[in-house]
Amino acid sequence: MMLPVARTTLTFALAVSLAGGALAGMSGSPLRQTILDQYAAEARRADPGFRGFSGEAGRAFFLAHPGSGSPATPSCTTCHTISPLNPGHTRAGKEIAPMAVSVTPTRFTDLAKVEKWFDRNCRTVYGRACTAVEKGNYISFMAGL
Amino acid sequence: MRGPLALAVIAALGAVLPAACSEARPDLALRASAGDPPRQVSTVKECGACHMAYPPRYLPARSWTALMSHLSTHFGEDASLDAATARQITDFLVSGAADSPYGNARLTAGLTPADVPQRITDMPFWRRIHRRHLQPGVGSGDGVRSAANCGSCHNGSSRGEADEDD
Repeated sequence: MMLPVARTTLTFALAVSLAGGALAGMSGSPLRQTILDQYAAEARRADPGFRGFSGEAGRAFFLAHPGSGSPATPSCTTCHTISPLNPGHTRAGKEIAPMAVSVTPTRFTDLAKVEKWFDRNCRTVYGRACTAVEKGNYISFMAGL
Repeated sequence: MRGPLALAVIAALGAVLPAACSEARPDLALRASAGDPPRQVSTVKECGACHMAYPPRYLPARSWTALMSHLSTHFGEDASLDAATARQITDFLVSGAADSPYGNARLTAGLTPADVPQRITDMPFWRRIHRRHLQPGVGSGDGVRSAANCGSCHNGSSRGEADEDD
């Protein structure tokens, strides 16, 4: 007979591997997929016709120079460079780990952190909050690289 | 005489420094001072996300309070924090400020009570130590990127460990 602790551990491991397997094909991480699902639900509430996120739209959003934010940060690329595969630098000179999930696998797995940085950087680059669609597109772009 | 001697050493080193330090200089390493309040997790994490978690003794309390009161416009960046975290960090910075018991007279020399410098690089002590590097353009190249990037020249500064004596 299996010890209760061992059985719990086995059940947990099985649950994690099943969840991971089911979702890995979409964003590579159950945590990231949960965040994307949340933005998708928000997008559907705003627009019942929402049909899913677009990595290509996320790419355009990342590369754009909207001209509506802080003059010091005209684009996401100001700090992150034009390739998310490369490290960036803050304006104070500190290195920023690449945004691409393939290089920095922990990206977009912590909702509080994701929201904190979208809140800040959408305002500095775009001069406004980002929509759920824009956030989902951005993450899809970074997860697909 | 430790302070003046250290300043003389720094000045001598400054004479042979390149205009911009593109590599860390172990000979200019800055070390933690015993005269700091205990390090605080939120400060290292939140401030350190974008730049070195500068030692609180590099600005007077009134400067830290002013800086922390408008984080949404932080040198051209939005560095907003939730109120509880901002409060915690402000308390830490004020408790170890240049004009706190952790500071000293050299750090506040040249400041009048009406001065509320927003940048450490505007502090008279900083400008005195770095006077040889203050020509236009110095510190803005690809190597250093910003005068806020202490670690570019001072190896070890990126961890928030610095001492104006060393």
